[in-house]
Amino acid sequence: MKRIAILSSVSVMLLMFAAVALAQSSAPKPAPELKQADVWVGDWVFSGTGKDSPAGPEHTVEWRPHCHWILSGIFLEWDSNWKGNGAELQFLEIAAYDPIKKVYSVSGFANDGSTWALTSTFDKDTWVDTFANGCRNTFHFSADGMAASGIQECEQKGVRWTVWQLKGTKTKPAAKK
Amino acid sequence: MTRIAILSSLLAVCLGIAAQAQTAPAKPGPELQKLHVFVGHWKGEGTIQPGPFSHVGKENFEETDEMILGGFFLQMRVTLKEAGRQDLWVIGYDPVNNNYPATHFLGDGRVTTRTYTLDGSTWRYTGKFSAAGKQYQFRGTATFAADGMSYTNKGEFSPDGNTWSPAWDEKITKAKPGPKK
Repeated sequence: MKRIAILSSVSVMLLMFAAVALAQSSAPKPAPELKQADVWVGDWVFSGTGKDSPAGPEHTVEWRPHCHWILSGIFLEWDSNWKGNGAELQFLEIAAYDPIKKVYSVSGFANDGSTWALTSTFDKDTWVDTFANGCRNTFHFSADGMAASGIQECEQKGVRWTVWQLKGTKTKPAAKK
Repeated sequence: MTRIAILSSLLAVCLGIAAQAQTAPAKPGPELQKLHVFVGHWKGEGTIQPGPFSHVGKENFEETDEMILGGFFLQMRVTLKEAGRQDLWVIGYDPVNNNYPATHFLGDGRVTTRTYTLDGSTWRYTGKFSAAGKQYQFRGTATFAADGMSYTNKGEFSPDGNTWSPAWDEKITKAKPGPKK
């Protein structure tokens, strides 16, 4: 098994909804702020370019995430397929929202055994993922929530560089409730 | 979102080994095969002792376990009747530490982690959780019967790592085996 050590920081997350401490026996309702993450829900197709290193050649990238709520709308799950530079990766990510810190804590798992953790925020139309290694993803959503653009930036030896840039559209919106 | 990002490192590494990956996709090793003992549909019953838990007393639950992501992770979906919630578990293998890290997404919004080690037919686990603003440790064993059709799960918890109290005692029986390969 190829386990990517860099990413194997299995998330040591202990997120608590405030309500849990007070009323553990009652099933909590999703925090109202979770509603804004609804924009992710559905099937997406993103395409663009990426690089393996600051000086590396560009290659095409395609990312197809299927995003949906799980566990009664408490967690958000992405099931993704990623293609780039001849490699293909499937991965699963689950986000939990912490209403006190007002951040999403995301746990990721890939089909090479690797795991990772990151923190995300959502402000107006902008979703930002922050990694422990300093890399950052920024996604901007269109007003109707049917399109988005994303960029990943990392820093290497003091130089900020773009790992990938993608544009995507929602091909299948969330199911009507 | 993507974390793809993941992908920053992940992608860089993955694509770095792209040539290798194209011809030989990663395959789960024998240690991951050991998780297959959980695969299937299970029914459980037991008792949660009084303590800092979301539910105490009798409990009945059903769980469906399957290998996902090419066999690199075990996913458990558990429906707890009395507690009135659904939980999700994702368990993988860490070859560096030779253990099985597990992430537990509770239907009440919490996320906890625990680590399993395998000793014969017994899975030993340790972990931490928070309740009402306090940190607790827990540990336990899941011991399989010789035929793999049932196991017992016993755990205890501690507020300080010194004093331990019984936490749960469960019997889990396979109601439906996993799919044939």
